[in-house]
Amino acid sequence: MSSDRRPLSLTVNGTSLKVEVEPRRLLCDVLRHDLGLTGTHVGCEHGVCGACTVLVDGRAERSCMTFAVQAEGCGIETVEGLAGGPGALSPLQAAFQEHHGLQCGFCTPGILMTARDLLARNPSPSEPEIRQALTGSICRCTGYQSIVAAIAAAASELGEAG
Amino acid sequence: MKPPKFDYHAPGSLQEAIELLGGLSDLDPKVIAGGQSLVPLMNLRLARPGALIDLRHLDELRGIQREASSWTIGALTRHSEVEDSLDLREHLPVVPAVAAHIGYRPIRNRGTVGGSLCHADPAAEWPLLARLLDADLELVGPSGVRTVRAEDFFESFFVTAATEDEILRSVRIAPPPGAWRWGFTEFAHTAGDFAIVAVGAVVDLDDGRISRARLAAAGLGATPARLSAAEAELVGTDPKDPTAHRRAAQAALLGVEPSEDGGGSADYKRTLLEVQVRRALARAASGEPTEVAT
Repeated sequence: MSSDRRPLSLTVNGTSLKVEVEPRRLLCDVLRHDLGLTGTHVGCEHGVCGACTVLVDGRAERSCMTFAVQAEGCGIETVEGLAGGPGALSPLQAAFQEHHGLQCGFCTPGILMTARDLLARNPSPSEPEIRQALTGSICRCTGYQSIVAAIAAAASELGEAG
Repeated sequence: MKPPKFDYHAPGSLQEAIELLGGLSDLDPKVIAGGQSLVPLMNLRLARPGALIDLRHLDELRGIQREASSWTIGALTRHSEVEDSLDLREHLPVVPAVAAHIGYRPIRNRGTVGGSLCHADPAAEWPLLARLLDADLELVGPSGVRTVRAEDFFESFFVTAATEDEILRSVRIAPPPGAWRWGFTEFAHTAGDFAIVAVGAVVDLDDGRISRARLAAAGLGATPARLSAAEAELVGTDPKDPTAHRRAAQAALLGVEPSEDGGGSADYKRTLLEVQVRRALARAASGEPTEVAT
């Protein structure tokens, strides 16, 4: 099997990394198994649940629907890259804690990265716009109300912080 | 599940990609662009190509170009780039608005125009748009370039007129020359899910009357369909006339035999079609041509 492997360069959360992977290795599995970044969760493996969403060159994408070799040279941002360091929370994460935007937490990394993509494009989204952005993420705990509230609060705080 | 093994190639030119398609024909090669249909099919092992030819280095296939009387969209242009294009929003607003209905934003961030057209899912938005707007598709193969009309491109479920060694380079769409309006409506069980039935309408206006109507539907059968009997009913009518919309909706049902699938029975789809033709026409006549995209 090792003969099928090829070198792959990625920049993950600002750090340049080299790994060797089979072409069939999904980006989510490189992140989790080769790089140990288990914050990115894998749910449905066919693009519906949104748990594996990461940023690829700044855009939210499904890491379960990308072969890692397709991301050669790309910049990847995962949930581990959101906060400044261990124990710290980004304003978005802090808003999720404050507004109970999670319960079991399985969907949370994907929703945080989806929200980051939304807020980067639209710093002050309306409630319907937040709900639209969440259509690609399935949460079975919260009923979404608290997630919507958390994202709205984060947008408000980030807006005030200028 | 995880995908089966395959050989991976990322050629540096379109010519090289076409040569690889021919040279690897024993391996049942597939072209991959965004992979938003192909990768899930491979994860589920419903597709098992022996080789993938990744077009990621072919920058000449990206971008949205304005020509004298039409727009050319490169096959590798992402749906979200179309959705966000200010030029298209101004000059051809039906295209970004319908593109915004594809899946979810993370899917649209990676999925491509050409990938969707070549996948040819009859419930998908791009095949519907291509039929609705009489798009021309430019294919490149070993013997050169040829242009195929959307009418001739979609042959059956997931089957197109592109041969095994051809690659879609771009799609060309011409806006109507005069005044025109459009409407679109899509019915799905959940936001972002595949359409059960979707209908698009484009009406050209001359002196306040419809001079040409185009109606296309997705989800009815093996290919996106033009509803020509309904189109004929509308010529000469007031675009806001609900009676004309009802007559067109009835005519749309003529000769349509929807396929029964997970989305619903044939009768259910006929009901959806009738309602959505009226709704798309009403939207074309109103200031809100589509629902908020998901």
